[in-house]
Amino acid sequence: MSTKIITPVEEFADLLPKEYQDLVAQGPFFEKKRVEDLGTFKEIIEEHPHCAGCGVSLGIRLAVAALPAPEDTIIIGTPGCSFFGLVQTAVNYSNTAFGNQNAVASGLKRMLQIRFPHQHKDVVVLVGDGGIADIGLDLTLHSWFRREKITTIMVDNEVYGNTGGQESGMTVQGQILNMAPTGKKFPKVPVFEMAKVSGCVYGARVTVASPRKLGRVVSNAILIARELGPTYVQIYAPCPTNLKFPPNQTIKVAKEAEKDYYAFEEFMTDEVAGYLKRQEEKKED
Amino acid sequence: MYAVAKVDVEKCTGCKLCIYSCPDPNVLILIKTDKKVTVNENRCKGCGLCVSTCPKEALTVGGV
Amino acid sequence: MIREQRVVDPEHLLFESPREQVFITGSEAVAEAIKRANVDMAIAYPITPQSESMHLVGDLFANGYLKDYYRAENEFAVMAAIHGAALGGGRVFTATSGPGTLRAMEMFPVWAGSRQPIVCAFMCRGVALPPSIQPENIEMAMLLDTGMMMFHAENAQDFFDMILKAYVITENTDVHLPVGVFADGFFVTHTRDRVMLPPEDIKLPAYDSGRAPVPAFDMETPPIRIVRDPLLNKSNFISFAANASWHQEILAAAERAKKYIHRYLGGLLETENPGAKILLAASGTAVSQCREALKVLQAQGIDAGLIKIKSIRPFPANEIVAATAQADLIVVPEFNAGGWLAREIKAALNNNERVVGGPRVFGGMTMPTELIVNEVQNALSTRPALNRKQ
Repeated sequence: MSTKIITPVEEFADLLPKEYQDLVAQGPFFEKKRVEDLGTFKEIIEEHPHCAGCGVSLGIRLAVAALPAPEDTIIIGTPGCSFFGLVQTAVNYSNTAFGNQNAVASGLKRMLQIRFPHQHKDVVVLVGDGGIADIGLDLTLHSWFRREKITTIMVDNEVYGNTGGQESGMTVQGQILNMAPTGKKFPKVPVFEMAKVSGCVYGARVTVASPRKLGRVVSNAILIARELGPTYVQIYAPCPTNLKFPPNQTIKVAKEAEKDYYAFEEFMTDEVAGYLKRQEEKKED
Repeated sequence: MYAVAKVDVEKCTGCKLCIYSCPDPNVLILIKTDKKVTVNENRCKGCGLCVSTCPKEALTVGGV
Repeated sequence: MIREQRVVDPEHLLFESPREQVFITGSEAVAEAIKRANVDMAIAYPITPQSESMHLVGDLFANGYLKDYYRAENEFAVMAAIHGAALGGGRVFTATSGPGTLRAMEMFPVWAGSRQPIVCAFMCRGVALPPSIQPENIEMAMLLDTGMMMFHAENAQDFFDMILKAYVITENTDVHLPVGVFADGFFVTHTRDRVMLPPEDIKLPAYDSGRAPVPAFDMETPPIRIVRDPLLNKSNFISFAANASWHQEILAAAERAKKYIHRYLGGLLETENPGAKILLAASGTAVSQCREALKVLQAQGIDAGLIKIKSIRPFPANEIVAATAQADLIVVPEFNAGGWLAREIKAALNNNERVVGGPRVFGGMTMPTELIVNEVQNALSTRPALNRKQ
């Protein structure tokens, strides 16, 4: 993208909403902003109808702030809660049939590679647990088997939130939810473990209680996917509405999980480790 | 919008942890010159996550 | 390495360039069409009887005629990836059959609603249990209201021409709808027939995403487009209203396509002996069988004509009314148990008791000319008024 296509002509500039003018003047396009810069620039995500205290929206806000090149990023989503914020985000965003996101992203990435062979176009899947672990598991795994150069990010609230709070594959065993009246009978689907053996060259497991770590791994995942292979980030993003805790406890709940089954973990191939080391050395220069 | 966060500027050190904890965009803004945070009350949903994260107890949620 | 081909005007490729006769299968005809279609990307998944076509498209990729090609994991994944690739602003192709069509169903209204000029070949076959891989086209009935345009090929020549023409017709700014090009599997795909082919060193111009009525998904084309759900955020009412108006827009786009269908396909239907009182109306392979039945009927002194319906969507309702205006009997043979073509024709006509829906064969049964001839004779014997007019 060039800023030319979002910059209004002078005559009409003041007719546009303030949020749009701020986006052009103080947005992150071409500015290389990171999570650490939040609060000082106009974010590309706008007001959204997520519940107050929603973990998913926090995960998305942080992930979107960490995009290395928002001016050339396309996000692919799927039905669920995640789309509420993402349809308010100033990048191309597509959300079609439930669970098809990694197949759509595969086709899109390859076509953009054909049409823009000398430009990075980051195709990022940003979806909830239902779309990846259940209805889209097949298509997600196959995009990894095929080594598609896309980043997959799961905002895991361990429930089907948008449809009223049903058990998801990522719900913890024993949790009582709709469609699991006597508690979930089987453990969380091990998507993170599957990513390790399915072809992802880099992966990280993180929660919304560690925002700067989250930003770092999301940025890493997208940069690595440009050249080296599929990458996966799993973000624990708890849901106060359906898991029935007060909305001001979301980060506390995430922090507790970090001490337990959602401890931070990163995996990478040797090639990726070498790449990250070189990036560190470049920064120090 | 109806219950919003409020900053006690005496206690605020501009650490920005609240900014990283807010699920909504551009609610908490850093005033670089003062190294303090301010709240855009129109955007705030009053969830209180910033209150729960602030190490200086500089934030509260109250009526508009 | 991209194979050297000259880009030519569609009119030159389709009508002006000299054609040479070859003796090829329908599957090979599909590949010959794609070879000249300047397709960016194709995605494949096996199912009988379309696999061979997509093998050959894969060979085209290996020989430099396409820029990307891969085998996906199931038909829903194929159609979703085709949607993604079309969002990216390029020309795409895929194919499927029977159960594969049904597996991918959710994506077809998505393609239409996204205004994507995708061309997908359907080599129709049985879908029900107990299984049959043999030809029947019941799947076409299930696609009638997806918003896709639908052309039905009679033979390998049609299959070749309709695929190329589908791209040219749909890529107009005022159309931009997905097109299904249908052929009855095995009868067309696995038999050899005479096909007239233009030279292989020419191809259609590349797809220009700037001509699309909606912007491409490349972060280069303002306004930055978001697909599917923004309006749900605002209110259910607004999103319902948008969905409703978009249905109308898709129907309107199909109407606007008619002028291009006339120009490139030579009309939505064709007639032979149109003045006859007895007409056989059919689409696809059933047309070939009707041609044979006409010869038998003529030999018996029964003057009958033929309506070959080429475009199922948009449906040539007005043309059928005109073509049947003077007919007393319209017999509609079909390769499916449901009789969807007879339904479509009856719905278009006043005094549709003139329509006899049959013979119907399915599951892979053939349609011998005797069946069609008997159907006509039965109708004549049970409708004395007709006989007197004869």
